Amino acid sequence: MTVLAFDTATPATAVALCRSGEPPLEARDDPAPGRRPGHATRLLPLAVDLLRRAGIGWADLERIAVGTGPGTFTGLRVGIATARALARARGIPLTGVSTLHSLALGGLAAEAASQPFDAILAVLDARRREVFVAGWRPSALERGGEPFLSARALRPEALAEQVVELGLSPVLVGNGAVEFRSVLERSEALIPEGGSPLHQVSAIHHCRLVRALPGGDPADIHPEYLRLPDAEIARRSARP
Amino acid sequence: MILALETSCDDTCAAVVSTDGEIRSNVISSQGVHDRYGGVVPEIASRHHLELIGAVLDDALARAGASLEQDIELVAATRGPGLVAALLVGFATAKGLAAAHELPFAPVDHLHGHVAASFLAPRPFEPPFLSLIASGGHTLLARVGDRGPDFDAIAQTLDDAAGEAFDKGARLLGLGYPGGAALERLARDGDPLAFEFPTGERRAGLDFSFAGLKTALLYRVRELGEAEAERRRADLAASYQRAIVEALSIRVKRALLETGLGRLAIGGGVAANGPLRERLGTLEVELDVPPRELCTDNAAMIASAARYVDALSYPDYLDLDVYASGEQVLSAR
Amino acid sequence: MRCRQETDDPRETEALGARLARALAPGDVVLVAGELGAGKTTFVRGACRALGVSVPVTSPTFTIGQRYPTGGPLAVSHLDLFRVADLAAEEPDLLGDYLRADTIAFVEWPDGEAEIAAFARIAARVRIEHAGGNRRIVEIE
Repeated sequence: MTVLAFDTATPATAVALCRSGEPPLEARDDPAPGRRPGHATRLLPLAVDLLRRAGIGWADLERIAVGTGPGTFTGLRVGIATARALARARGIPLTGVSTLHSLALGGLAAEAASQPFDAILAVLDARRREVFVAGWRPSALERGGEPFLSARALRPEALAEQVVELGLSPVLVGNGAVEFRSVLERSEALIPEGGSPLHQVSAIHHCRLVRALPGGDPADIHPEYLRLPDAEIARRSARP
Repeated sequence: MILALETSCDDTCAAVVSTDGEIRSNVISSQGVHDRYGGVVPEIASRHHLELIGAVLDDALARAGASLEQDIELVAATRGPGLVAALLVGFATAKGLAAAHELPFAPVDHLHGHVAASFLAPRPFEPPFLSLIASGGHTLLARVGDRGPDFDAIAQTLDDAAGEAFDKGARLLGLGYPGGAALERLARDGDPLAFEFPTGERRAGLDFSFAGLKTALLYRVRELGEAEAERRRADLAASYQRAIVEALSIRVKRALLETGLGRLAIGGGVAANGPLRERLGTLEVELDVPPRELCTDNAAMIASAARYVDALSYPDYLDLDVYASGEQVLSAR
Repeated sequence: MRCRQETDDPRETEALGARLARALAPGDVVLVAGELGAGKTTFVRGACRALGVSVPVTSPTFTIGQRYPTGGPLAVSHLDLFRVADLAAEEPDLLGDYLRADTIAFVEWPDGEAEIAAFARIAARVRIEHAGGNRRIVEIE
């Protein structure tokens, strides 16, 4: 199966092209600190680069896969709007992949780590001093299995407490793990060094998960915002 | 045929228009959910755009009896000005649709779109003419010498937009959002000459200003006291509306005189206002008043404008971004 | 700059804005509160002029924010958060585009100070109140 996968939930724009029997191709844009994410401007050019490198065209794609977050709202919408448009225009199925799941799957490569671990937690910086997090047992990851810790937004302090309460010795991956290392390392958590690629969302892992996930109608794929703007309703009605 | 998307504010729009300007479909989904907030909330508008855009697009193609693969030669979308997060939903969708079939793509300025509503069949209004664009976000006069995309903005608002004056006036009178339509309805039962509000007649120049009018309404409401203001709400609305209409038409008249143009076209949400349409109808000029659904935000006008934009061929448009403010257009001043 | 002053007309409100502007540095945010028609945009216009903004300073209600050039490296942002009832539920990028290190920003209807403070230094809080006719009481702290 020929899959074009991408993710725009984090500041990075991560794209991969995966074909049966061929090594996966990857292209990405990681904005320098202080620079705006390039989702709107870099996503399609990176995808076209990969098609060109593989010597194939849009008509050869059999599946689109897109990261559904959680992550930055605008980034998610650019990714999902683009994915739906491509899938709809080509008449091919679209698969939504949890960005946290893909990140955790990539974290399995930490197996070479110095100490053993019993869980992988994907931790993304949700800003406002919160993280988006979900956790998997290593055995469940490849099978597209359910997380034992479902996706949520938390203060890093609360996450550290949960890790202690659950008695976990986890590996933590993702830009949130790096950002809040000092808080999170108060638990038994192992966090790879800051420059490690394990912390990057890579669409190659989206491709791996596509095998375990169904593809469907592009209209059925929605962003996982996690934060709902319900509070606005109360705030607005309280205002004179 | 041209497929166009427009998501710059709170209406999710898709349209199919033939290359000679005939509307094959023009679908508008108004979100309606913003009423309770007293205005459009960017994050909520953007979420709704993403949920609605697929169905609106399918509907537009189905009503036109067109298929993306066989019939669409050009894809267009509003690039700005507007709410960035909202614009991006339509813009990313349109770029993706175009890319997947390696079609050319036309990025369209929203204001050029409002002007280009006049170029649609069956009665295209030919330049040169003076254009008044008045909406919640924009109030400007432009000298339209040809079909665009560039035109000469000769006046704009110095403070609030005309539509904003309607919305804020409505708020002061305790009406809901969107205020324009509610205020127009209430004004029907009122006396437009009951109260005197400033129209800026004595201020020189072509630029508009509505902040003083808004403040005048606030003071009048306060002077009357709560009970009396409530009792005379319709009179206040009618008089206030009349002042906005006069403020607009005074400057339109001046601009017609100054430019020597004898033709006028109007566009934007405020151009859907009945009394304004009537008032401008009394000016002795050739007047183009598009139907209401082509004055408020819509994608048919974007498709119309796309015909006069230098379309980019695949893959030259893939890295285009949207823009929030109208500097591009106003730099012509 | 701290003061509580009565202004007799919009020109004086603008002048007070200009006076505050001269005490500001890039990265500063000024919160401007006051009810509808109080003259928030008037105050901001005066400040913008003093900072070198020559384009019209118009209401930013529609696009939430405007960025004005000054002819130099400094930019001036002007935001109206009336419609943004709950900043915590909005995309942080909404503010990030306007509150930057190279920018002096003025924020009307500034609910959600914590979110604003995450991006920039709050340099002053301005409150404008009606005092009858064109008169206003302007309080800066």
